Amino acid sequence: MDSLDTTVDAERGATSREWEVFCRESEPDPLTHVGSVSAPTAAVAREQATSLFGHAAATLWLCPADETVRLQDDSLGVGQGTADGATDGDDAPTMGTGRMESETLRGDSA
Amino acid sequence: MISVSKLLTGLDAEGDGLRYDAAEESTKRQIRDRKQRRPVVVWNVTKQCNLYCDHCYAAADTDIAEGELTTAEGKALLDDLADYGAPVVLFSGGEPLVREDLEELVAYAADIGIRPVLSTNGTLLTPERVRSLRDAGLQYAGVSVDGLPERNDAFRGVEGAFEGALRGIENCLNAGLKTGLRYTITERNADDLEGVVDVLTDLGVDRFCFYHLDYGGRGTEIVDADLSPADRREAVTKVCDMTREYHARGEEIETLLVGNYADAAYLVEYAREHIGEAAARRVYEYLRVNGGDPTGERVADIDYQGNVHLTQFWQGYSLGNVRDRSFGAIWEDESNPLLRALRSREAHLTGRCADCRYAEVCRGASRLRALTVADDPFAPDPQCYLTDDEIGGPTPFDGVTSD
Repeated sequence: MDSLDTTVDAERGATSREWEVFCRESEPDPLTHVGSVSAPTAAVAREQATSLFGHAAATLWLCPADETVRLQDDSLGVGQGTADGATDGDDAPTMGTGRMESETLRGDSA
Repeated sequence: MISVSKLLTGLDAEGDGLRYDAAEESTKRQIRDRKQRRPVVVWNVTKQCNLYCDHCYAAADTDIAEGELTTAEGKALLDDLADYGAPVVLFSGGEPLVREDLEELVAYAADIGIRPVLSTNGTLLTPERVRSLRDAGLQYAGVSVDGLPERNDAFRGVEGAFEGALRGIENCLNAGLKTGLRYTITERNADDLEGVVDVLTDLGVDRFCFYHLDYGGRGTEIVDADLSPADRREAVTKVCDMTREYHARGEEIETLLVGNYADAAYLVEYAREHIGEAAARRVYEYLRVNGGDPTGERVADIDYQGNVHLTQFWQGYSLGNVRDRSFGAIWEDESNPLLRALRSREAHLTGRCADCRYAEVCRGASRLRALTVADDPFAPDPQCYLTDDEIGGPTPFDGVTSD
């Protein structure tokens, strides 16, 4: 457990809530993480997960990604996770909306 | 991605080596062996965009999303992709040019042996930005235009977007950066297709990618504006005819179709009718090697927050996140029954796809459209436009190899 010293806590699902999906294919199998679906409600997430995994699953679990704590060895993944769960304060460098607007080419105005 | 020009006119273009192992005669750079089995990775570097397109699969807007991968994370991701052997990274968005570190990321990719290419709306391709991207090692900029001015600007939500994109294209051509068109064909703009090609060929553009609408992001909201199967057949025929007409005039434009592998079967039928049986056989063999719809196999997507998707259009489901595991670990994890089934989909396809004689070169086309329309990722693609007669019967050219 000592190696689980990194918390991955970056935001996920910018357009809708994200739901982690776990699947068991048959009774003796382990419950396995099989990704996540984007859905505004648990009911819609259930519909989506069932459509994707209904052909194979005996069991499906859904957990809100924003309620899921992700701990891992810091050698995994590309993220800059933090030991104490705080955000690292580093943002992707993108244009502000003002500059984006002013630099957009529009025919003769460019 | 199906190269119509390669298959119908023999035009040899950069990138065909990614699609056709058999391009032995090509003088262009080829990607072979291990790398060609790795996916081309689309990386949506940001959700932010200066336009608001009706069909945007990433549902982009002017807002910056929380948790977008930082510069350092982006470089770690590129290292991860290089270790896995990804041959190409397509920087996309949102609008990727709103990222101020785009040149830094492009240069990093080029330095570690990944071919960096760009998908953009073109309206931020200023002369300065084009030069800096070219100098960073960018190999290609695909610029989206979806109709002549009136239709394009209505589609893209900003007046003047058509002229802006053309200026961006001209800036690329002036700087010697390879550029081409990306055109999503819908009912609204199918009539503009040839006009746009004429305008751009006059500028000096020689590469044209025609996309079928996939039903992801805001694309799900305009399904009603998609072409009918009959109109789609007509549009694809137009692309084939136009390619051959240009070629006959000595103008070697490269044309590609993306997003509906029913096109593969149709190209075989087209070649048989218009060129001859030997040509149809050669087209079929190329497409057999190409391997049909690439979802979950030869194309992957990583969004601005690091979520890995089966294609760039399928943003509603993620296989995992690169902040948790390496891309290769996620992509190779076939404990996921959906990923496993998509990679052996011939055993799962239902309806008219189950017995289609072109299954080997099509593989059911878009699984996302099937999921969106039928709630079943193995149902037939609702945009298959082939007739029952065309898909019935034994596999064409069974066991043949190309000359």
